[in-house]
Amino acid sequence: MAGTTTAVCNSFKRDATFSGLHRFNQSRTFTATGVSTQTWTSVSALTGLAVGCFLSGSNVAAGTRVADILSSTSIFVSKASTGAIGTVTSVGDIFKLALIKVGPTGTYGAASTTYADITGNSDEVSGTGYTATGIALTNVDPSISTNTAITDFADVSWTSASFSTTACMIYNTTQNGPLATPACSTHDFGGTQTVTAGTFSLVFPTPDASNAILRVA
Amino acid sequence: MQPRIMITNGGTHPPEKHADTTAWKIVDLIRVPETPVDPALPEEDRLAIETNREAMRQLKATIEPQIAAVLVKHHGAVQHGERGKLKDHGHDRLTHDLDVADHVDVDAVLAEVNPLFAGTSVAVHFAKAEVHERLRDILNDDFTHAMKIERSTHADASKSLAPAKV
Repeated sequence: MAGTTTAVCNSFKRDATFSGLHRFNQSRTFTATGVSTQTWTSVSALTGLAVGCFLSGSNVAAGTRVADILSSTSIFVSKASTGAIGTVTSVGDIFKLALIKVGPTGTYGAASTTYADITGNSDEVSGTGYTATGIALTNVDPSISTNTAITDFADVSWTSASFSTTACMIYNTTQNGPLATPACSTHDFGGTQTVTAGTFSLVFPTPDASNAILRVA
Repeated sequence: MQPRIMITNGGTHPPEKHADTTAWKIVDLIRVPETPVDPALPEEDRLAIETNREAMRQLKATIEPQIAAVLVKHHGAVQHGERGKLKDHGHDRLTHDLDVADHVDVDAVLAEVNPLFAGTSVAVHFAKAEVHERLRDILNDDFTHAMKIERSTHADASKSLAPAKV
C-alpha cells in the first residue's frame, strides 16, 4: 500500500554496521604538515577522522578524502596537497532530508534503498521554498547511549515556504558503495503538514537510546 | 525516532514556539520508562513502579511550561537581535559567524532554568555537570537555529529584489 512507514532502512542497517558505507562524523578541524604531498604528518588529532572523510582547507585539493590512517600522527590522503597545508577541516558524509508529497504513489519504509525510489515515483514535494533533493543536514558525532549507538543532526528549516508533505527520507548523498544516494531512514509525519508562505522546521528528537533519529542497539 | 514539526504561516516562528520546542527537548532528558511493568512482580511492587512513573509524567507536564516561560524572552532577544543585525549590516550579516553570544548569554539562561529543578525528584540528575553540558548544547543549538531562520528569511526576501544597476 502506498505511503510511508517510519523505519530505519534494512539496507542501511546492513551497510552502516557491517560495511562501513556511512560516516556521520561532524565537522572538525585539525592541523597537519605536508607540502604538495599525499602523506600528511604531525596530525594534531585523529578524533573524528575516518577513512573516507572529506577534507578541506588551504592548499587542500577539492574532493580530497582520507585514504589511509598511517599512525596516530600521520594520514595518507586521496589527492596531493597543492602547497603547504595548515589547518584542515574534516567531515563525514553529506546527508540530506527529502520531503515526500501528499498522496505518494510509492511505498517507503524499511525496504526502501535509495532516494531514487522517491524521484522514480515523482513523489518528492514540490513548492515554493523547497529545492529538489531536499535539505542538507549538519552531522552531530555518533555516540553511545545505554548500549545503543546513536547519531543526530542539527534541526533544519525551510523559510518563506509553501508546500504540503506527509513524510521524509534521510539519505546519504555520498556514494561509498554500489548505490548512489542510499536511504538511511523514512519518517511518517502522521498526517499532512502544510506551510503557507512561512517557516517549516523539522526538530530532531532527543539523541538517546530510546529516541535518537537513527540508532542501532 | 520521530522528528517534531514546527509550522508558522506567514513568517518566522514566534519566540513562544521556539521556547516551547526548547523546553520539550529539556524535559525529554527526564526519562520515564514506558515498557510494561513485569507482571511477575508482586502487586505492591508493580503499583509502586507505576506510581513513580506517573509522578515523573506529572513533573514533566508541570515543569515544561515553566521552562518555556523562562525561555520566551531569550528567544525573543535572539530573534529581534538578529533582525537588528540584518537591518544594520544587510547581506553582509549572512557571512558573519553564527554566534549566539551576539544576543544572549547561554550560561545566564542556564542559571535561570536550573532552579526550576530544585526540590524535585530529578534535582540530583539536573545538578550533574554532564547534564548542564547537555542543557548548554540544547540552548546553544536552538538559539543558533533561530538565528539561521532569520538569516534565511532575510535572504529569501532579497532574492525578489532587482539587481542593482551598474
